[in-house]
Amino acid sequence: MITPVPAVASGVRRGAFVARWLRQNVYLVAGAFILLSFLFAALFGEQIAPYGADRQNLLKALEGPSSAHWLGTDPLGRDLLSRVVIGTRHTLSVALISVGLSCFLGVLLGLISGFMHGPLATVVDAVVDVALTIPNMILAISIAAVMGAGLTGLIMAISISFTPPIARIVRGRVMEIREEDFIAAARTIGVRSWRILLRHVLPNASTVIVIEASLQAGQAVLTATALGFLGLGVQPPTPEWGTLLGSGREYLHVAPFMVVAPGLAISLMVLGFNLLGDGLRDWLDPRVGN
Amino acid sequence: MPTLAGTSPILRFLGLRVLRALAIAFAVATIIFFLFSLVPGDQAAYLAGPGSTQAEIDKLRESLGLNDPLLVQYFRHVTGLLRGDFGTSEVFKSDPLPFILERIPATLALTAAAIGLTILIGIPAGLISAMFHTRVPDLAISVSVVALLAVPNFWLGLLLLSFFSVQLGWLPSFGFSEPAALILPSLALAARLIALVARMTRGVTIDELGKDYVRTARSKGLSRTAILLKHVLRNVMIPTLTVIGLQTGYLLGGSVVIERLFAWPGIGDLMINAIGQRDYAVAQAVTILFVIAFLVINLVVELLYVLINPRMRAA
Repeated sequence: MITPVPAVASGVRRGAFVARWLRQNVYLVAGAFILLSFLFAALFGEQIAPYGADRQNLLKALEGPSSAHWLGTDPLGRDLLSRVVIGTRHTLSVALISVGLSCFLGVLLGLISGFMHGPLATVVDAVVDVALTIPNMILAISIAAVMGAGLTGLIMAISISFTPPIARIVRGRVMEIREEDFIAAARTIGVRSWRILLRHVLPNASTVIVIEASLQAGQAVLTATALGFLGLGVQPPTPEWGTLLGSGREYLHVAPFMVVAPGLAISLMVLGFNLLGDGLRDWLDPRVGN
Repeated sequence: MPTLAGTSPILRFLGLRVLRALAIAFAVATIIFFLFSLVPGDQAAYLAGPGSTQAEIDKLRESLGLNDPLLVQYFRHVTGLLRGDFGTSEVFKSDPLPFILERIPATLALTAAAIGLTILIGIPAGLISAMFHTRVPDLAISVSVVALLAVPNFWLGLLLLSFFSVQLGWLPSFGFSEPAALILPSLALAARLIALVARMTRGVTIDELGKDYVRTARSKGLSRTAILLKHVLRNVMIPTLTVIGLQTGYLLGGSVVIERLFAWPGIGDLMINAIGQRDYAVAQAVTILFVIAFLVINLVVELLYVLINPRMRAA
């Protein structure tokens, strides 16, 4: 017997439902909250920060945390808190743009190698296979070296090196979907291949893609800041977090506080993306929940 | 008469895997060659240095073979690789291979120590977490795992460096002069793996503890600890191997950043130096070496699978 689902009638009921949803999706909510805070800092950095990112005051160089400068100052007397807040946009935009690009490329390659038959699919599959054996970071370093340091090189390096894993995951999901009855049904009634791909396969693979994109964004933050730290990313005086850590390293003996804030900011952003990814997985894909 | 069909399945499996690895290494060398051929600017003019005449630049370009068509250069590069010739380093003014080989032990020591720490810390942490399931130690370890997965390894390294070397002066801050120097860099590199292995071990152990054979062992009078160490630990080794196999790429890539941070005299540090000096022959050679290391580690992991788990031997 089918039990009729009670309609959500009263506001109390709805409130209880929302409360339960929030409780069940703590990770998702926490991750979204962290990332929205960063988004706010990225958009309104100048308005929130107590000082300008480039305002120098050599009289106050390398001062420890104080009431005027909560996180201290750098060798040029610039306020570290302001630099970290205003620098948010660089790391966040690099992560979002490169993951967007690598998802686009990865989905395209995954659809080709997972859905089609023939030489093109074989070649794509083989190239992805080979690319997966080049450690991500090594590939990113090589591409950044070839492209030269800077924003374009950084985005190219991350988006290309993150494409193979996404292509592989999408391929696996597409091969599952390909065997479903509704695909065979669509074929039988004469729906064209590209239409099946866009209208039937892609929407069904979208959950996997969204979850993977969120988790990859966290890794993209780690790779982008590591390249910045190595001097292969965004160049000073841009207050990019990895670059800030790179310059902080040189003053570790006199000003250890310089490395605290940028590192904390990176960790928090990665945590935000990781929580969002795990939360999305629990919410959208109950089959694989922990 | 030993034929291919007559050889042991493990050897044949290994032979096929080695052949596959060689094919992949060849393909990667191709990709890397064409990637580095995209470097903008005149390589010869840069290497000749400022103040050199056009004639000198032309001579250098000719001697480097940069005037030949790209496919000819590629053919020369690949045949060179097969002979163990990694091209000419313009910075070292010679075959870069000896300089690369001399730096391999430091990188090997770093990554091996990181794997060792992963096993020594990750597995016990996961076991403790599972034994105290949903109690305080479990909570503390689970929170640490989530935190460690978000922390960049180079920042962790910086914090360790700042605290243990600069503030306390207990451990050396750079180089590979004594065994103690290995502690901080390998810990910074291993942190992510430790977290992953601890999480995996915890999950597997909780699963295993609910199985029938554990109840049988309990009813025979074995203590929980004895069951954990004698029976469950054996089943934890496979997922641990899987994590290490899957994270080989992280381990090798992370070693480059960590070596840079700790001025560690390994091949990752050499690679970043080479890129800074536009010595692309060395950068390419190191990249290929990293891929070979990746393939070798994964081969070893696959072999260990077969050795640890008799069920897989038949497959």
